Amino acid sequence: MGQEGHSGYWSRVTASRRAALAGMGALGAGALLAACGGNSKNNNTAKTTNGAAPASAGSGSAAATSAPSGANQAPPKDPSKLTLEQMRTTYAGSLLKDLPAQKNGPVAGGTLHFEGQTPVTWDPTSPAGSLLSSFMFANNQLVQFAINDFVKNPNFMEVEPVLAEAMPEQPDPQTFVFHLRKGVKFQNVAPVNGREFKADDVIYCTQAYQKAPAQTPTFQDLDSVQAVDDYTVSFKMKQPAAYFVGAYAIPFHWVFSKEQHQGPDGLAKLPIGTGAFLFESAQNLGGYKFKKNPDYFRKDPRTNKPLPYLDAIEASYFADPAQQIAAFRSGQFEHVWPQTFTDWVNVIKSNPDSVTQVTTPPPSFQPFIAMRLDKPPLSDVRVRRALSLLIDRDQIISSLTNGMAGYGYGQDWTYFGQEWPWEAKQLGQWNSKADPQQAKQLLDAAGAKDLQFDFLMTQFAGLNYNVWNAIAGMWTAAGIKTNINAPRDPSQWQKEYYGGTYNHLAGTGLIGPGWDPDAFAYHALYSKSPRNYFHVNDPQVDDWAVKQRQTMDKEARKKILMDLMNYDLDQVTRLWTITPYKINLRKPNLFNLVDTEAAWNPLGWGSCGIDLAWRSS
Amino acid sequence: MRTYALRRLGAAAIVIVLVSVAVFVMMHLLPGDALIAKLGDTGRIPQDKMAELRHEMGIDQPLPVQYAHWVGHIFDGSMGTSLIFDGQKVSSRIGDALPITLELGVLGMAAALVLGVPLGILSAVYQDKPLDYLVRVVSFVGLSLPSFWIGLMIIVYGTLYLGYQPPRGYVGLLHDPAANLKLMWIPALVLGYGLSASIMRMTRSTVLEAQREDYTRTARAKGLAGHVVVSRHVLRNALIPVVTLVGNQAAFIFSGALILEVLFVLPGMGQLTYTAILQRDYTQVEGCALVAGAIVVLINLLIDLSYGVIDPRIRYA
Repeated sequence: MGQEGHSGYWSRVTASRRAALAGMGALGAGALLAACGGNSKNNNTAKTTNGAAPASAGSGSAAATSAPSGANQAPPKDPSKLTLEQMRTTYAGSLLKDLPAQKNGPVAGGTLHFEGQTPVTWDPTSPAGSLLSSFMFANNQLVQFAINDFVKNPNFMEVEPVLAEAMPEQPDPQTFVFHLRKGVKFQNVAPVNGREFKADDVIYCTQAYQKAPAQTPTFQDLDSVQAVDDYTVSFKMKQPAAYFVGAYAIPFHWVFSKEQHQGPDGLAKLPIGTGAFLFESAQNLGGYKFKKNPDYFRKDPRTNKPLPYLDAIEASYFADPAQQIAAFRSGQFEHVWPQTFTDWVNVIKSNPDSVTQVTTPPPSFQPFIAMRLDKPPLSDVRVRRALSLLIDRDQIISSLTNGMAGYGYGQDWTYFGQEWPWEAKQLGQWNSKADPQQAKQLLDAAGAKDLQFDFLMTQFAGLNYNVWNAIAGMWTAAGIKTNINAPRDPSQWQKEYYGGTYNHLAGTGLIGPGWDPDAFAYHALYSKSPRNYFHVNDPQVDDWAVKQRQTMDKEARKKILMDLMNYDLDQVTRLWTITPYKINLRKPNLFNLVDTEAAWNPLGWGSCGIDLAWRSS
Repeated sequence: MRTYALRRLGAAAIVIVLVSVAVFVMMHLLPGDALIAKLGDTGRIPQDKMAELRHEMGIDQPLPVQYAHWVGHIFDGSMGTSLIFDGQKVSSRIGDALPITLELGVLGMAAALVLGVPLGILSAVYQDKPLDYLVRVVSFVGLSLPSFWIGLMIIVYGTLYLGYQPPRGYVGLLHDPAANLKLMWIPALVLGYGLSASIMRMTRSTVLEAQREDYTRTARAKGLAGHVVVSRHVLRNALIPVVTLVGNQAAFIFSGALILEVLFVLPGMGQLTYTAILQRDYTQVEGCALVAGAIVVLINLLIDLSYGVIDPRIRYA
């Protein structure tokens, strides 16, 4: 159709609308065919960047790797087919010390780049203090988690003395005496200006932490803290406190100075301590930078070389996991924590020289479901047991985590000498294998018909959210209705869950913060504990919860904790699901930053080990 | 024009006050508060400690008192202190974030105009030709596909096949212009593409309409070259609705920029406001709403005043 008034100036090839639509349809169909064609699963050859042959594989079976060769672990032929057991053994953290490139170091120099965001405050006494567990770069504690490639077994936790010369002496069950290292200096930054760290600093920090929300539980039983001399501090508890050293190791008990705390800006704006790195800059809603502290006191206990090895660390904030992985792939980050097994497979295919480590998360981080035990019908143990028996955990493990998970329970298995998460036989009859038939019998016995529950979740929960939804689906299939309330806003969830005002069920993913078994026993289950969000109110539980924290003998304490655990599992006070494994990736030139069971990732709670990290060129 | 402008400024002030009250009320209607958000994973603490901390933060006061305190802080220039980011003034956090969003908005709008107006003109001039259909498909795609998806595809496939490296951290324009433009050009283009779609379609529509007017026919009859007819006669009349559209879209730049700021890690106003809402940082949200409202009102005023420049026939009562 020509335009009125067209002249030769305007004349071009004319296309009718019908022809144009037909052309677009053909193009679209062609694009669809091109997108559907090809199957990456047909290509089983792993690419390598250094010419190393892919690890051999049995026909049609998963490819286990042989011993690491060259600077890297040998890349698997088809990583998507690796089983959990193969992942655990092939990528065990204990193998990292045997990487051949370890012989080339440690060497000093370089900047570590990773994903991280400036915290809302640098003040560990602030209400947001628990967030700072992942930011221990400029500070130290008396005792800290040991984070390096040479720990005995990364799947267990080791606590080491840092500002203390040694682990504390205990002249009696209520007294902990720390001898401090001599000659340790604060960073050479105002207002501390490089002065020496002494016992009075520990006293001051302890008194500040006694009033701080995150640290109050650690010092709950503290009667007094005194400086015996300039380098000796004595903590006197009101009663025996078996949990104390474990709680004190959690990385938000930093040592800071009185002069900074009482200064005009307090501790909020920059971290100053005795740590390996000096704060350099931070961007609001962005990342941060630290540079090497040339006066750092610590030396590498293996090589006696001065620390830190790195010249600087630089965190950049990428909210989106796709951005984080893109940054790792392109070499911008030396470390990334893939959120899913599929993400790991994709990265290892594109970057086969990456070093993988598999470990378990701390027991404090796993999806589970809290229940209002004070409200019918959940006050009936038969109903709770039935709900638990309707959860097909094996199905969740295979479909949502590609097999990279174990059964869940909120107590630290490593405390009992066990390397990997709880097994079915340890979790009693209600908390592992599904048994819909027995569940129905229990519900019938309880007279529970037409059950309907309000189920609070939070959408910002990744895998946890999928687990809760899968469980809701399993219950629906069994005739139990759930009204899911999943606000997009975390604050709304926090108000209802932490306020204990949720109606029936609440999906949650954190027990703690904490690491010592006391966090999962006393704080979670004691009837008067503020963190008992489940309304557990059982005199037997109270008795065990209190007794275990006062029992200094480890074997005796284990027995009490095990009794409590077995009873808790039998009573099904919470609905346990799975414990997803962690897979960490680092570049082949980064060393001594192993992920351990307590660290949420090496640069999370493991940030306290950053002084030992090194990178080759 | 001066009287008109002053009247509009007066009305703008009333609008901003109403916006601030509405935002204040809505924020306090949301469940949870700044203390609960700040405690985060620490969870519940004893009630007396909660009350003490709420008192320190000033959030236990009656709402009118809290609002009055905040208004007072507007006049001292600080707009109060962030409830979450200890010790940081609301105004200084806005001062850090606003230039980034403005830069993204300006670059995005420039990209939108550079893409949208010429393509809209070409599409109108070559109506029903292949170029017209192509441009309309491009605009249709721009209207249909969300900008965050386009951005995500650029990141994922760009990294895999084109050597794209997500920028690590924001670099200020004045600090290093080259580095700044290097990290801003992709998000600006993504933002601009989404905005250009409607500009393209509006321009096409208004140019087609203007081309049918008598004065256009007269100009052609006088023997003027086609491009002269379009540029001197058609465009000036066709642009008025486009200017209105651009003004309206300027208000939406904040919402469009938010998603891109999160995706491309730009610490701008969108991210600042969004994070503050999630964290129940009441003072921060109110400060951001005030500034955003003022900017939107100012942009609309400037757009209105520009009509008189574009079309001398327009006079302000």
